[in-house]
Amino acid sequence: MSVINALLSAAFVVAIGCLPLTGQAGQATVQTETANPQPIGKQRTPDSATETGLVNRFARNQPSEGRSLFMTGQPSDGSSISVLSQGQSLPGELFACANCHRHSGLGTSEGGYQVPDITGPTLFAPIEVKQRELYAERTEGFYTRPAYTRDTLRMAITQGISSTGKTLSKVMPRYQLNDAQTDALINYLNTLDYSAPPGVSADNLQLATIITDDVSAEEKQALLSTLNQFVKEKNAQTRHEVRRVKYSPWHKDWQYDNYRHWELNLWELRGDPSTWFAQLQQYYDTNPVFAVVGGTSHQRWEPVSAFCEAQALPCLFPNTDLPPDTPGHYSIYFSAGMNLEARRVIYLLKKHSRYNKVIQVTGEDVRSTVAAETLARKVTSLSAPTVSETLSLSEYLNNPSLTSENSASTLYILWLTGPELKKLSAHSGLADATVILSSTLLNRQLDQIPGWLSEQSWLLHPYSLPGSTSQRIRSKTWLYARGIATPYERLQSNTYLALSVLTESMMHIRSNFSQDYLIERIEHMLENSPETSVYQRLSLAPGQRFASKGCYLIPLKKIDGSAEETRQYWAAPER
Amino acid sequence: MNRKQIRSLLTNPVKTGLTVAALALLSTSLLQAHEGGQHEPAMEISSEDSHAQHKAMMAEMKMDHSAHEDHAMATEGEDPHAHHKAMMSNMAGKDQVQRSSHDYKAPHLTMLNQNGEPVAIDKLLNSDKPVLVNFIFTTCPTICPVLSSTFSIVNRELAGVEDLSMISISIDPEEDTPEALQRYAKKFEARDNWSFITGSVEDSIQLQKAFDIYRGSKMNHEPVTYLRASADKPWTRLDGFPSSEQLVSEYHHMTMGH
Ligand code: HEC
Repeated sequence: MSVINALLSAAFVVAIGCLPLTGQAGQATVQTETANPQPIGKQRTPDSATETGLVNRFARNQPSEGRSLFMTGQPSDGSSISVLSQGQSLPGELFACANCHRHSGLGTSEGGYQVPDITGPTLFAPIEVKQRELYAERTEGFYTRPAYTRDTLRMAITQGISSTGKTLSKVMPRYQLNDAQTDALINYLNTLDYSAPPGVSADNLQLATIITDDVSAEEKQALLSTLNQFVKEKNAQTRHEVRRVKYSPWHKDWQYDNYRHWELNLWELRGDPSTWFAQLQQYYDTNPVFAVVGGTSHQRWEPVSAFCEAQALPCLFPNTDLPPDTPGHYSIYFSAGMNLEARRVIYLLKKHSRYNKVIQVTGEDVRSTVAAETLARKVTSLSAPTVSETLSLSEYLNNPSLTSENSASTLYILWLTGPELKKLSAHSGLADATVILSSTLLNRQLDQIPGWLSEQSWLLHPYSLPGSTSQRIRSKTWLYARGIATPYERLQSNTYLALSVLTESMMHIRSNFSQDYLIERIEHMLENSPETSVYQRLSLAPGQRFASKGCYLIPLKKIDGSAEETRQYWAAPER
Repeated sequence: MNRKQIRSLLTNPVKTGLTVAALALLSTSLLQAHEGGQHEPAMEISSEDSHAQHKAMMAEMKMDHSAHEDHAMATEGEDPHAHHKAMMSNMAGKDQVQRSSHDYKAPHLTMLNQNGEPVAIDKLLNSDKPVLVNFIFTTCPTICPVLSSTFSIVNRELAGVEDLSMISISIDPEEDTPEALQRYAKKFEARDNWSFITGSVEDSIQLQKAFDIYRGSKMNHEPVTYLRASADKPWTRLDGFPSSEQLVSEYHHMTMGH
């Protein structure tokens, strides 16, 4: 994206900041409620009209010496700097500022250790909170400090001396940098200025959800009804909070700075996936959004994730079984989908060397092809020699001689949907074979598993088991209470989860409208989410992008077993 | 609100009565609904260990600036970001290492080391030789790089010592596969006597509980180092960030007379 474009997209938000948005040309607005129009001049977006904000937003994503030092702890030429941590001299690569202060620079906390906000606007302003005792006691260690100057900041980074003149905690390393390097670093800290975020106006927060044209009308309806209901309630709540501001004596506007009316835009993608990027660009240029949330496609998600990377746009929890194998920074997925299932089979093959041949049968669904490709590729890297062969279902049906190959050392993996499985019968020769099925391709409808399969057949199941009690599905109750039908349980629960997590993390970022910070808050808090949807457990940490990491590969006869019995079949395979 | 206004607000005194009200609100709002309007607990205590979850929640309330600055944290006339900025407590106070002595009992569990080999964790920990232990995860941003680089230096400085074993146990075992731990070991130039342990989530939690370091979520974990001279001695627990020098001298101290 060009500079001009970047600036234009952002400028557009600012310009239309106070207008009610009810759908642009070429896009349907899911949520059509309009915001209360606000008088012009009452813009409370933090300094959003400043050009500096726009320029900084552009500049911080450009490669630079300062960015390199901040993100990697190394100068851009790949050389190494030396860092003093706990009195020990260590390579800078281990101590990039971004590790601790995070990509956003807005800081974090870990195990009671506060890592402060080191964005330029914060550092160069004083902290002068007048502390009352009660307050101070409760939160321990509040402190005030004068604004940093470039000189005192240099001292902080290289000597660990803060603008108060006191020594900083030794957790903060001391960096051996020359003046040119500290200058570059300080310049970069100055670009960490979130005063002109895309998709944020004084009253509205623009969000988008993405649906591709392979999604059926029923599925789309199920998705949109869940989204609409959630956003409607969210906005009603926001109105309530805003009213509280007006009528309660001590609530000031700024406390609700982060309360915004959500406008959820539907971005529908049509035609060949190679054109999606351009379609997305057009949607974005017309109406930039702060984040993409939920959405679904049955095709590979890669073109969407490529767009989100290019735009530095958070893309949160899309419903896809085909995310890219190496996720970027800005997309967060429920799981690695079919690749996870393929890797789970590899995990089994590594453990049980008795299988030396794998026959994969694929169906019409692209997810089946992707899984088989990943598995075939990974089989070649196994240390025990293993042969793999992939056939389509029709090839398999036309080649009954294959059945003679059955032996204890052959593993059949049927990447087939329920209806496809029906085409195979007890006579297909598989009745005695060791067969693996994918529960994702069966739409998690385990009653579609044919009865004639042998005892030693297995199920790939990257979800919690039907009888599990550890699961926390609050969404079920939520949807039921609202009379929303749930023909697509996973899609709808996932959507509820995505929106709940977004709600909670938007509350945490307060008026720091940094998209990196949004992602950092989600990384930090997902593990405590009260909702796990259909998954066994969800958790992230800095840099982790697949929230559910494990998968059952469980004998069919054990599916209904107790937690103790089934536990051994769950594993998180190597990438 | 612009920066100038913010700055002028910063200097306004805080009004007394309001803070009390705000604090009361804070505690209820943290326990109660998040913004979405569903008045259910923000964190459901449904996992096996409600105690740890509770601890984690309290830690979160006390420590985590993000949870802290909920809308209810309102005191009139302050900068919206003031709390946030001010929360970077002067942490120099935390630099001190707390030392204590405990009788932790390692459970009998079969876990995996960085080479994917099964390891009886109780055997490993109940060695009659000196052991040095910590709990880490490879994607941990702040605490673990500091702990691990200290271990790395100790590992190098005590390279001549045959009998010491160093053990780093992952508290994020699903992400930290043996291969991930192998890469981590390489990054910190670990020698053969430094092993990295992973396993099932359940086993990792059981082990963390046995050493009183389980805090519900890995993002709440604390820097702790454990050491002892042999299985018949109590464990020494060091809370905080001991330097490599301190650990080396702890080692010499505890092995004196052996
Ligand atoms: C290992 C974690 C870690 C890394 C890496 C790190 N910091 Fe820090 N930093 C901290 C902690 C913790 C504090 C708070 C210290 C205190 O409160 O005494 C801090 C404080 C600071 C402060 C003082 C802020 C204030 O308001 O007084 C500045 C400035 C700073 N860091 C800049 C940097 C820069 C620039 C880098 C990279 C070159 C960096 N830090 C890397 C952990 C880290």
